[in-house]
Amino acid sequence: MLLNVDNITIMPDDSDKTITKNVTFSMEEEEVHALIGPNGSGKSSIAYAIMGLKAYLPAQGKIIFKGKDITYASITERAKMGITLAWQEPVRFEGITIAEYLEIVAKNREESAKVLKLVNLDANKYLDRKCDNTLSGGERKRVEIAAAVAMNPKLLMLDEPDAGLDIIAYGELSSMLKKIKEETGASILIITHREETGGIADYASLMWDGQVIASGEFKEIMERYCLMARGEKKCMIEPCPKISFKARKQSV
Amino acid sequence: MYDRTLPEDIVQSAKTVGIIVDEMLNPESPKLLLNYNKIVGIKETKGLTIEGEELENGVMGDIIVEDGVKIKEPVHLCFGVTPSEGVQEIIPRFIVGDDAEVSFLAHCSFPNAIKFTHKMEGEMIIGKNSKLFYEERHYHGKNSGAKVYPVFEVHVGPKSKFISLFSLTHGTVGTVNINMDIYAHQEAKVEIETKAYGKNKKDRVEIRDAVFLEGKDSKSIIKMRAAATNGGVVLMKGITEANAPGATGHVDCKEIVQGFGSIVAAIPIVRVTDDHARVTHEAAVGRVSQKELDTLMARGLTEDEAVDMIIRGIM
Ligand SMILES: Nc1ncnc2c1ncn2[C@@H]1O[C@H](COP(=O)(O)OP(=O)(O)O)[C@@H](O)[C@H]1O
Ligand SMILES: [Mg+2]
Repeated sequence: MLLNVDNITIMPDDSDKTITKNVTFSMEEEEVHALIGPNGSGKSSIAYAIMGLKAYLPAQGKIIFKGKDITYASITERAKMGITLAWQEPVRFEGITIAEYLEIVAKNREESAKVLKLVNLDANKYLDRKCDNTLSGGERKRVEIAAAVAMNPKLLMLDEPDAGLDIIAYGELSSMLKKIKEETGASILIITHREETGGIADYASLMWDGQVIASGEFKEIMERYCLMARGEKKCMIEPCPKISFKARKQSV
Repeated sequence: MYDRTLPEDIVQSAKTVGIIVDEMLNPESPKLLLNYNKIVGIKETKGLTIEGEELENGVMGDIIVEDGVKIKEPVHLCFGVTPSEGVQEIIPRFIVGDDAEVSFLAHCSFPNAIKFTHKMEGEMIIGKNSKLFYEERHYHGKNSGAKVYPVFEVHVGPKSKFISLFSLTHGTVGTVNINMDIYAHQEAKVEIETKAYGKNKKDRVEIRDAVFLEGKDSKSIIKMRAAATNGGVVLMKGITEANAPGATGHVDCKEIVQGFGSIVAAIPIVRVTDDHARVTHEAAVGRVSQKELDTLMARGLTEDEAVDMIIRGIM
């Protein structure tokens, strides 16, 4: 077992607001796992707890990584153990070039160029550009994924990897993820509210209103997700339309 | 005790602050290199005269660029001291004639300073229609044990340009107190950029850069970047006084502060005595956000390393 998230409850910053309750799921080595659920269901919060962000340390439960209890380890310690996260909305760094950002972990320019290629960015064009708000959302997102991949992580968490990427990029994403998987051999946790994005996953966990309500094979979970969303199978083929999941919960 | 070579610690610290050491040590490149009070490297070029006199505690010197001489490669200056204690006094005079051009890359290195004082009393006199670029990078070691007191007076002649870059962003600071007075004559241009970063409660920086726009249509820009973490203190004043018609100045200050007990202030001070002069200013506060820190730590940096990287970026 690579990762075991055991019964965690998150109350950010000691507020009395519980944003996830008793979340349990696990991942094996080299597994691609999708954490699926509608917006606001608590997916990012789970990723933050696994990464070790202070505000999201579990109020209850345990996180075990490669047999070690890391529930209260620092972000840096976890990163050094091979856990990393490509953020849903990456921050901009004023005055730091993409090369400098990548070279926190990449050994040199050549290695940085290699990871940029994996996310389909031309190193000649990008390495010396600033990692600030002169980059578009999609470009920044690609750089973020590249920086996470450069770590050669054991567990790579990609939070909404398609958010901010343009339409043409959608088809590109699954082949990009496949290449990343091949190159790094990492276990990947794909966090998404879209079926297409989770497409390369073997397994999935379905989050609903702060809880993981089902884990299993990706296809099965996807079926369940769509049924919950619409009460019919149609959205297995078409993207799920935006509807109020909460309102439907009772009827499931 | 002080031999006539540049000690290895000093060469290393030059690398730390980004100086191309091969270029500095190249026998052909113009230079004045000091090891405490000994001149360990001196090289003149055509139209550039460098003369130094060794004193008990330091060196007094003249660096002279003749009229019409344009020196392409940077002139390296190195004021280094390796012992942990003592006093070094440097009294340099820079004289640049008319229609001349020169750039200096100075490196002040006190890598082992524990109870060490460096004093500098510099004077720069620039003639007509000339250009002087002066960059000074400091490295004060890891112990916050240096006390550094440079004082500069600069006269920028008619239609001449003076550019100064000062940075103290690597290693610790110790105590630094810099005073720079710059007088701009008719149509002279002055550009000053000063950056300092205090990293702990023994680091205390005070910098006062003052430009006096005395000549008609003279211009100046002062850019100051002050950062402090973990209890460091960095205080900067960017002063611009416009005393002649058509004189224009701008002061741009940015402060970045992080951690308990850290104090920064980068303050523009502006005085205009002539009705046809104008000085503008801006001040901003840069911040290190938790998300920026979390992002860099998720790549394996420690919190201190992450703060450092972000601050250097903002500066
Ligand atoms: N630091 C926080 N303080 C209070 N509420 C939060 C905090 N972080 C997230 N939440 C709330 O928790 C819920 C889950 O958020 P999130 O994990 O971002 O969901 P998802 O990633 O699935 O869209 C949302 O209602 C969100 O507003
Ligand atoms: Mg999210």
